[in-house]
This record gives sequence, C-alpha cells and structure tokens, in this order.
Amino acid sequence: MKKYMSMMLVLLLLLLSACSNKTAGNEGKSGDSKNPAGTITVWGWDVAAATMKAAVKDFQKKYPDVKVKVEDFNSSDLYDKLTVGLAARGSGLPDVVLMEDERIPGYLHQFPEGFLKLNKLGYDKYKDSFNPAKVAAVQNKDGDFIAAPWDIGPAGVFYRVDYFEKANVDPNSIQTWDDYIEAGKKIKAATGAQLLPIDIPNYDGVFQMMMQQQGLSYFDKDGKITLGSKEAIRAMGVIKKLHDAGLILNNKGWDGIVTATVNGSVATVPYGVWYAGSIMDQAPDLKGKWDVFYLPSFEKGGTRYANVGGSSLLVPSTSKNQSAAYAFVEFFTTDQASQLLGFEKYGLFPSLKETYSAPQFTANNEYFHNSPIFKKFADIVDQVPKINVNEHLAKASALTSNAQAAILLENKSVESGLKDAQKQLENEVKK
Amino acid sequence: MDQTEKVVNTTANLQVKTRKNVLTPKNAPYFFIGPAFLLILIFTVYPVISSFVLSFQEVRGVQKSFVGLANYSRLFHDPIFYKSLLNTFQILIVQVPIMLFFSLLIAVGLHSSMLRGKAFFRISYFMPAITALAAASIVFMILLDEHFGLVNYFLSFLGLDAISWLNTPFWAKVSVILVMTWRWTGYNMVIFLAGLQNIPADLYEAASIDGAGKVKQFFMITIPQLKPVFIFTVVMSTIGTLQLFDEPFILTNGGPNAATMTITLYLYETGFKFFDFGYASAIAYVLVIITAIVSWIQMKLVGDEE
Amino acid sequence: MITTRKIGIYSLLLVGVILSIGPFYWMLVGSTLPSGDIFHLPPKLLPGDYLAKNFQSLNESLGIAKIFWNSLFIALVYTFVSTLISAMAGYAFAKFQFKGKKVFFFIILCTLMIPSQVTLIPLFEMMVSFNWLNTYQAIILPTLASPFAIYLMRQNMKAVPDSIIEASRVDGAGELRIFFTVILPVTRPALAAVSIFLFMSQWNSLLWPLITMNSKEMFTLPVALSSLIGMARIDYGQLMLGTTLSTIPIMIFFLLLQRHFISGILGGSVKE
Repeated sequence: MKKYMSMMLVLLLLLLSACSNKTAGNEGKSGDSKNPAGTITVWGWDVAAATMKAAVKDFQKKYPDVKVKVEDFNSSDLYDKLTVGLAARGSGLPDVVLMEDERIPGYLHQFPEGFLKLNKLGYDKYKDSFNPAKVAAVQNKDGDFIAAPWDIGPAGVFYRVDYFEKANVDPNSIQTWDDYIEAGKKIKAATGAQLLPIDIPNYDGVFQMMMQQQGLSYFDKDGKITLGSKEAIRAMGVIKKLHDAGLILNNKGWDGIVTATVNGSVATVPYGVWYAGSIMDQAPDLKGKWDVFYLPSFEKGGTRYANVGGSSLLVPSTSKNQSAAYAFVEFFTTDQASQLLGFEKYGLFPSLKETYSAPQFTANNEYFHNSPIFKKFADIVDQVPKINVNEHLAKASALTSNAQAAILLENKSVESGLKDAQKQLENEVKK
Repeated sequence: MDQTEKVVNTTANLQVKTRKNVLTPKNAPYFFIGPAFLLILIFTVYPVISSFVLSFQEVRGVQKSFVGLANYSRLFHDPIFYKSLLNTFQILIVQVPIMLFFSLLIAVGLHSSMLRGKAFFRISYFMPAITALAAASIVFMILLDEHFGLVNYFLSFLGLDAISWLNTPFWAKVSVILVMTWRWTGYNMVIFLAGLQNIPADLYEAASIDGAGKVKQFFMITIPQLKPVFIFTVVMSTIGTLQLFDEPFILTNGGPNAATMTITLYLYETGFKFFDFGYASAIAYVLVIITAIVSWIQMKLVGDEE
Repeated sequence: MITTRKIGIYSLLLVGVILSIGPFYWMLVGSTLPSGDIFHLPPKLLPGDYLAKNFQSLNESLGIAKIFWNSLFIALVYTFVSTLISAMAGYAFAKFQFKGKKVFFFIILCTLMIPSQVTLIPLFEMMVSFNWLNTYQAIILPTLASPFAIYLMRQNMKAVPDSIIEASRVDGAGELRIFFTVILPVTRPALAAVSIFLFMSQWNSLLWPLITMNSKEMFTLPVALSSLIGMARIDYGQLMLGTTLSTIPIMIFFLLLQRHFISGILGGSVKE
C-alpha cells in the first residue's frame, strides 16, 4: 500500500509541477508608494488601449522602474473576464482596468470591495480638476473615488458631407427626428446609402440617446422603470419609422458598424464624440468628407444633447502592485499631454478640465470638413441632461435590445414590445 | 525429481512475489480503479450533488441562503428560458432529420459497390468532424456575412437577395443549423456506413432470388437492419443538441432577440455573466431531467429491439 | 443508361465533397489574405502572400506561440494520463471480481448519462477555492477520469482471454507488470482510439477553458479565437490563420491515421 501511495503521490507531484506554471503578471519587486516599481498589466480596448500604450513612454520618464503591459480585449469579453476574476478573488486580473462609466454601479453592487478606493491613496486632491458630472459617475455613495475619470462621450450625428450635397440636403435643416427621417429618404434615393447603422438585436445606443434627450435612462429619478413610458414609446417609434423606411442598416457587431462607416453604405452615424477617432483611424481616405451635427430633437427647440459612453480607470483591490497601478492611473488621467494624445489621435474627449483651453479644442479639424467639431462637442458638455444610472443597466440594455429586435424584426408592436421588456426588467430588479 | 524441483521453484517464486509485489490479485483491482474513482468522486459526484443543493439556494457574493423552490418557480416564469427550450427543440426537430437524411443518403451512395474512389469520398465527408466547433463556427460566421460573405455571393447568381443570416431571428437559427449539419453529417455517415457493412450479404441475395428489386430491398432489408444504428445516431444527436453551446456562442451569442439562445448558453450567461449561481444550477437540473427523459425513451426503444 | 446514372451519382457526391471541404479551402486561402481581401467582392479564391503578416499580427495580439503551447500541453498531458487511468479502471472492471464492483460500475454508468453542464458551477467554485483559475490543472483534472473512456476500455479488455493473464501470474509476473507488459500491448488499437477521442475532445473544448482561463497568457486556442470576435476591428486574416492553426495539426494526424482516427472520434463505438 505504501508503494501505491507513493506512486500516486509522484504522479500527482509530476502533474502539479507540470501545471504550476501559473500566470505571473505581478512578480518581482513592487517598490513602495514613493518609488513604485515592477510590472503592471492594464486591460483596455480598441483606441483607448492604443492611447494607454502610447502614454507609457512618458509615464516611464517619471517612473522608470515600472513596466506597463497594456492588453487589448473586446469590451464584452473584458467584462466577462473581469467578472470571473472578481468572483474568483482576483485570479487572472490585471492591475488596472478600463470600464465604461455606466458599468461602474453594476460592478460596485456585485463586488463592493472589488476595487481600490483611490482617495485612500490621495486621488481626492484632483476632485475639482474634472467635469463634475463625470466625478459623480466615478464615485460611490459615500463619495469615495472608485475610478479615475478619463473620457466623456457627448453625442452627435456624424454625417457624410458628400452624400448630403448629392441629395441636396442641408444638415442645418435637420431639427427634429422627423426631419432626419425625411432627409434619410432623400439621401437614400440619391445615393443608395442607408441613413444609419444599428446592430438591431445587440445594440440599443440610439434608443438610450433618445431617452437621455428626454431626461431618462431605463429608470427615472425615483428608480422607476421607464421602458413602458410614453417617452420610451416615442423613442422606439422613431426607430421603428426609420426601419420601416428602410433606412437602418442592420449590421452585426461593433465591427459591422465600423465597416459600414468605412465602406460608405451609411450616410450618418449617431454616436459619442469618441467615434470621431474610429472614423479617422479606420477611414483615412474619407478625409474631408465627414462632419457633425447635433442629435435631432423630438420637437422643435427640444434638447439635442446626450452622452454616450465615456470610460474610467479602476484598480482591482487584489492587485499585487497597487502603488505602481495607482501611479499609472494618477499619471495617465491627470497628465495633460497624455489626455491630449488620446484626444487628438482618437477623439477620446477628456474630462480633465485644464485640457479644454488647449488649441486642439477650438481649431478647425481638417479631417472633418475643416469644421471645429470638437468645439461643437465641448460646447454641449454641460448641457447634457442628467440621468439615473444604476446597477441594473447591463440587464436593462440587453432586454431593450431584445425588445428592439422583436419590434423591428419580428413585427411586434412598439407598445407591446416595450411593455414586455418592462415586465421582464421588473422581475429581474425585484429578485 | 523434476516434479519436486518445479514445486520448489514455484514456491520460491511465490516467496519472491510476496516480497516484491504489494499488489495481489485481491487488492489489485482497487489499485487500478483508485485514481479513476477518486477523480470521479471529487470532480463529478460531489459537483452533481452540490449543484442540486445550489439550485435551492440564492448566492450573493459568498453568502448562500436557502430559498426553497424560488429558483424553479422563477424559471417557470422566465420567457428567455422558455425561448431557449423552444429554440433547442426547434433546432432538434429540423436539424437532426435533415442531417440524418443526408448521412444515410451519402452512406448508401458510397456503399453501392460500383463506385470507385470510396476512400477519397469517405475522408472528404468525414473531414468536418475533426474541426473544433469554435473554428467551424468562425469560418461560417465569415462565409455567412450579409454583405461580403461567399454564401450570399453565390446566392446572388441564383438571383436571390442577400440574406441577413446572423442578424435576423429566423435566419440566425438557420445558420446554426447549417453549421451543425456541416459539422456532423459526415460523422453520422461513417456510422451508417459501418452499419451497412454489417448487414449480411446473403439477406440481399435471398431477396434477389425472391425477385425483390433494389428499391424494395432497401425498404425491406436495409432500413430494418439499420434500426439500431439509427436509434444510436438519433440519441447521440439529440443529446448533443441539448448541450448546444459553441455554435450559437460564436455565431450569434444567442441573439437576435434570444432566437438562438440554448439551454447551455443561458446557463453560461446566468452563471458566469450575472453570477446567479443558484438560478444557473436550477437551469442545469432542468437539463438533467430532459436528458434523463430522452435517455429513458432511448432505453425503451432499444428494449423493444431486443 | 448505367453510365449516365453513374455520372449522376458521382456528380452529386462531388457537390457534397465541395460543400464539406470547401470551407477548409476557404479557411486556408483566407489565412494568406489581408483582412480587406477576405471581405472583397468578387471573392478572391486563390492564396495571397499575406501569410507572414497575418502571423505577425496574430502573434502580436495573442502571443500565439504560448497559446498553441497551452493547447498542446494540456491536450497531451490530459490524453496520456486519462488514457492510462481509464485503461486501468477498464481492466479492473473487465478482469477482476471485487467487493463494490457493482456499485462502482453503477456510478460510472450514471455519470455517463449526466450532462457535464450540471457540474460547471460547483466545479468553478471548487477551482476558485483551490486558487486554480488560470492553471493547467484546472482544465486537466476535472475531466481526467472520463466515464466514456472507462466504459470503452472495459468493453475492449473483456475480449482479452483470461488465460494469458493466468499464464503470466503462474510465471510469477506481478499485477502491475501484467498490466503494462501483457494487457496494454494487446489492447493497443483500443488505446489508440480512446486517446484520439480524448485528445480531440480536449483540443476542441471551449466552454470549460472559457470559464477557467481569464488571463490572456493562459488561453487555449478555441478561447483565444472566440476572444478575437467582437474586437473593434476584427482582423479576418488573423482569425482565419488562427482557425487554420487550430485545425491543421489535427488534419495532418487525420490524414496519416485515418482508420484509427475515425474509430477514435466515433468513440470506438463503430468497429471496422
């Protein structure tokens, strides 16, 4: 029996030693808070990841002992992996993670201790350096900084100047969503291009913008669900009209939307300012052919402003090198040059107020038909209606996308589609 | 003399054996079965029980509390769960017969003696069965792209409009069925082929002598003789479809509007996106029950056969 | 008459062949094209010269060498140990009478019937409490004892005549030696089939590695491929090359060892 046991033990040891090559992201010395050192891993996506990669060089001038590894994920993958890691007490997690602001309440609800409170390391001294709405979005109920604010996403409608000219449509004449639909019909007749891309079953961003114009998210100020409200019906009604007129290009995924933008199959893209970066990055050939106007409103004179996206940086509390992680987060979000770098190249609109006086913000942009598009966005930052964002957002968004698909693709009526979504969401929130 | 020597030798051997080997024919089976048994106990039996307990609990962070049948009653009011059940059965009812029909057709075609190049055909048809489901789904995702996919390109030669394969509820289901059929037809074909080869040739000879034509032979001999193989493939495909995950996960992520949501995908999302472990366990146990019912029906059918 | 019918059957079969291996061809071609050419009309059906570039960018975004190694290492260790374990267990069930045999076998049969999804969540909790996420053993250990492989080995071991075991015992061979030098060699075809079956199921598996590996360096091939989808800009050349890399090794094996392979993938359920 002894022999048997020892053989099993050897087998087990062999297996374990073969397997023991664990991920080692945080090895080595980690320095102290004055002189951080070691390697940190940062998770981000797309142009935001690219910006952080580019900023590492300047960061290392100040902190030569810290190595930064930026990993690029697709955002939904990043959230999945982050959730698993948090549930698993930090296994596999990076030292710094990028997150859309609207996701923060959900994560805080599920993992109240999951992230480092940055004010404990002194971040509150920057409180007045940022756009106040943004500061509110990254704080928890007790006013702790859960995340370091980065960019914001004032929304507008990017449009193809050449298509509009060809169809003889004046962008300034588009005041309301009805105008927008009429313009779309004309443009389609003249150029064959559809008006806008929506990944119908997976993305409800246009609906969200429309709701925000009316001062709502999926919840009103008191936390009541708004999917069955008349505002929601009005918003979805416009989307339905767009679809019925054949103006929506139902392209799959974020990639599908970018493809449609690049290959000219759509005339406009209603999105956050950060989409400017993707356009410039992916379609350099279309230089001079894009410009921006504000979102149409529901009635003449109604509000035309909304915010889409915007992200911040968080440090998981299991990070083994918190001082270096904090050093990076602090440097990156408060360093004017790094913020302007992401802004200029990728349209990531900083919330750091001191950047707004930089010439880049008021200058005419050659790519965008020589118009001062960033000034247009900067002008509306303070006028975006405030809405209630809470921990149920991810679920609500998924249910709304499903409703959108049912209404547009399965011929459900707007009212009953939204009513069903309202009921489902009520069930989810209740439990 | 010889005799005694041998006896002495054997005794010596026996002594050597008892000294050298701890294993005797008596304890050896426990040694051989030990590792497998331990592993199954830890990594299968315990989780199966634990999952059952979990299905009556609610998990918040590290806190677990018993909630009785709440998870199950929520399940019965969950439209997405119903949809995932419905989808699974729709896919099952359409995909399995189509696939088995093609499998059988090809197997019969290849089995007929006059063909040359059987080995080539067999390998070609079997090839899809070696690919990872994830890889197959990715290739099809590209092939089925609405605007630039090869499939729509070839359809345009037939004068057909482009189909939004992955982004409309109906076609998304068709896409999943397409990938499954591509992946598994050859696999089942080989099983049928082996079944066909096991049918004794004299059955056909006797039938020929009785004057039965080829078609009649097919229905009188081939089909009945293949019945056990048939049941086997149906059961395997059914169980496989009940556990469908990779294809919808890659192709459509369960969309549009949950049109390709399957039981396993829903379990994954509930468990590992929303970390609702109790609810996810309840979903898992419904899957167990359905699988048990299917297996029971299979046993009844095979029982009839014997 | 006969010839036209023959031509008919052949051409139908050929259409089928094109349908079943066409996607492979497209995948191979795609891995040599830049992303833009894959999404190009009319389609480019001949290989391009972008293979090296695709490899470079795939390596940059994923570290493909490490990921390939992860997949290979996991699948090989798993296959080797799991085949051994199931051969041992199968041998015990087939050739020994012992107390508890019926109970053990009943448990194996039960686990054979239960869909593995039911174990996902407790197993995940277990991996978390062992602190095993992002380790190889998290993938290897839970499915190491495959009830199916055990069942299969039992069926095959039954066919081994008792007399050769008895003869070796009389010759004084120990039980271990009998197993390794007598039993394993005569069941080689079954071992080959079982190990191919196990290798394939591990190499291709997505769900469990997806849950247990959330660090990029520990991804397996299927997980890595699924992570490329949904990127802001999917690089289709990369994606095609990735699928090619996950398929080619198996394809080579398959063409070399067809017969074993087919019976292996069919789980030895079909004898040829």
